[in-house]
Amino acid sequence: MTKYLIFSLYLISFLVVFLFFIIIVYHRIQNQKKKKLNELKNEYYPIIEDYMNNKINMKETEHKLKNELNYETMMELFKPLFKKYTERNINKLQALIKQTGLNDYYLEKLNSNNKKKKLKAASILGIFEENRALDKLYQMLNSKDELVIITTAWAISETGNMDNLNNIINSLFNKTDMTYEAITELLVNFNKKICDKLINYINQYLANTNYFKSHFAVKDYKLLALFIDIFGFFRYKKSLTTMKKLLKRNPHEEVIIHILKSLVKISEPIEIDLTKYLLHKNWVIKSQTAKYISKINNSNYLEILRKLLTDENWWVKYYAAKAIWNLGEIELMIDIIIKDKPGANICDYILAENNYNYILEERK
Amino acid sequence: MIYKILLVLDYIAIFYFFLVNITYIILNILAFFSIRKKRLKKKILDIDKPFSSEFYKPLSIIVPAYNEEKTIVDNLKSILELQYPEYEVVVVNDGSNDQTLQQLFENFNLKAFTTNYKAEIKTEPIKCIYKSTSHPNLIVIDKENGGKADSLNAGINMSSFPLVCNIDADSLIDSEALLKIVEPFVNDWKVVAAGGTIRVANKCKVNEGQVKEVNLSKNFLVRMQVVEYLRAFLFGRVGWASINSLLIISGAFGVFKKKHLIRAGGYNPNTVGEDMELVLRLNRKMKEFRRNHKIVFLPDPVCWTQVPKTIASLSNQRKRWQRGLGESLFYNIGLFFNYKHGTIGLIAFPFYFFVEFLGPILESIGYISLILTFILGYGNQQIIILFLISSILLGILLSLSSLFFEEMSFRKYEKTKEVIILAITAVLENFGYKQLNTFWRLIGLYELIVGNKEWGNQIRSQFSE
Repeated sequence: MTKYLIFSLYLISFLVVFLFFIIIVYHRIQNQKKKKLNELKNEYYPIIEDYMNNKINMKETEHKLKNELNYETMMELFKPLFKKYTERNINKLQALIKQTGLNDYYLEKLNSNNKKKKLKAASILGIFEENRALDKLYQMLNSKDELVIITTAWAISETGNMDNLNNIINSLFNKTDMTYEAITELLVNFNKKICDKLINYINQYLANTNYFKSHFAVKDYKLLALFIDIFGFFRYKKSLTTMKKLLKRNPHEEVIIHILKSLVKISEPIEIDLTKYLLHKNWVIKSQTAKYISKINNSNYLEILRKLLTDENWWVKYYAAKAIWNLGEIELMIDIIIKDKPGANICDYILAENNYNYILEERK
Repeated sequence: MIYKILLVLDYIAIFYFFLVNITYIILNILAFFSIRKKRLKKKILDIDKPFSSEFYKPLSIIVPAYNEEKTIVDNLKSILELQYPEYEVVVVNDGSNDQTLQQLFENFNLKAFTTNYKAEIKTEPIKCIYKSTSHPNLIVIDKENGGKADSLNAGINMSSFPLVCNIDADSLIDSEALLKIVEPFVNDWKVVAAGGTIRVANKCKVNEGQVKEVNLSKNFLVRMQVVEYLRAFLFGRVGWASINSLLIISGAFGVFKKKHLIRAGGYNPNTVGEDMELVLRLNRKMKEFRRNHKIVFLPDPVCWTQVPKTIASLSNQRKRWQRGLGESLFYNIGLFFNYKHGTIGLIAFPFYFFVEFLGPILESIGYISLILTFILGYGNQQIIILFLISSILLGILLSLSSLFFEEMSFRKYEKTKEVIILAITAVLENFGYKQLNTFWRLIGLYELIVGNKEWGNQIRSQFSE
């Protein structure tokens, strides 16, 4: 017993001392790595900057980078630049990266048996928009591993290639635990051009309501909400007709909410009577409709908006009052406040929010 | 006779020692792999998500405030600057008798407001509801004093959005913390609640409600708590969460799906451990509702809080935590060794019961009986000494390992000097501080038995600029 205790005591003591020093050494190493990377940035970013500003050519830049840096370090340097440069400059940066051979390096890594290396390569090739990786990425999409599916789908979305969009949506919905909001986030990577494809999907659904079930095995409202969010994100005006058609079908409440949110973002009028949405039992639908009206300044709904000033939900009242304010009906609001009519409270609030309460003082 | 009693007690102490340390070592290993996995995922999926926020569900932040005149303005400024697409902030003034409400009036242009307040969860009467004209998403509820849980329930009643986040009025959260803590709700439909990490803000430089520079306090007691928080969050909660057995989400920073929160009945106002009690009940109710669920912990989204600087306030806090723990466990005793609740019922709950709740008694018995055995010359004295030394060394090892997890993941303390100080603190806390903690927890247990329901006074100070 004593022997074992003494042995374990030695072992634990060793581990304590070892860990104590490991922490400090590890900390120092990480600090030095950080310092080194900063030094490299200071040294090479001006060169890349000169290249981006056409002061030196691609060959010369490549030569300077390749002579002194390995591929992994080069990637460390390039990664932050993807956030820095705009879409126009990204192509120039990508051309330089291609020239250095980084794409080929990571294409090779994509065939690695090591999961970490493989996924890292997939992710990077996505950022490079490398179409040569697509075949392999499509293969990886058939994996059962959630991390592999998500990383691959993300990489494909960044390449912008939509040949296998059905399969991507299907895999994400049915083989991962992602919610439709997360899938939307991924799909916007395909860029604005995805919208036409989505309109096409919705049109097929409108022609045959079993379309989504048979093609994606997903509930209609989830897919519709997802697609509509993307229209809103890109402020895609061509989707207005599609959204109008959908509204006429009396869709699921969730779909109505997403259509209204997208309409708020697009801020263009749509030829449809909004009365029933202003009078809807769901406060989100009411408030989003009022918000939409405040964006398009449609005075046809003034009377209903006025009634909504006394709604029990704050956001409904708020957006109704905001819509009235945006319609320029300041006198109406002042009248409601001074005569203490229903809705005086929220009108008073909107005036205060816009620093107009001094008018009230004058009138009083 | 005495010899026999001491022998039994020694065996209990040894059994307890093995139970605690084996569990902690397993938790440590689980936490290590969990953090490594998260790191790997972050490395692989290190994707810039400039649009991410736009699709996240709207969220209501509830800030219960009782006598928070010194921190409420900074805290609210920080919350109102958070990166999140659509959110509202509901501050609940819980009958403060200082200038909390006055501070809110002066800084946020409040206007009294009439609204239909739906009391889905019963609370103390509401005196008035205010809206800010400078921030339309800010609501202030002024209510009769009813305690923290009651304030949180009032905030839930007032909230409009599907996700509810509770943040303490004496805490600051990182600008991206909300996006990070909501991410699991987006990436996994099973998630019903998520908790973030709490870190010590004492001596950190704060500007416009954000922690700009992380510094280590010179106060010895605060340093001890830094190590303690690292241990509790980086290996305790990460470890439990990795086997889907998280029993607590800190009251200072957590997000819940509102519909489940209401279905579960909201926070329990009859306990001072309302945060733990809620998570336990949520786990229980989700099973009853047959809802496949996950309660997750994220070591990354950070909430900064000021920890007690004096022995008196720290002991009050620890006694309260112990009472809260006991109350939470007893309110949810149905989970105890209940196989229907899987690892929660069979491992996590019994562990919390025997180690966290009864731990102070068993530890104290252990210390006393071993010392007595040694003094009275019973048994093998060499073994007793070796045993005591190894228990202290294991404690040090566990504290150091959480410091190592911090280094391999977040590295908030950048200066080497501070890391060395923390490592030394991790050693020193085992000599006196841990034993003191056991003593406070023991008093906490006694207070629970005699029915003490006091929250105790908390001394607040402003964040350093």
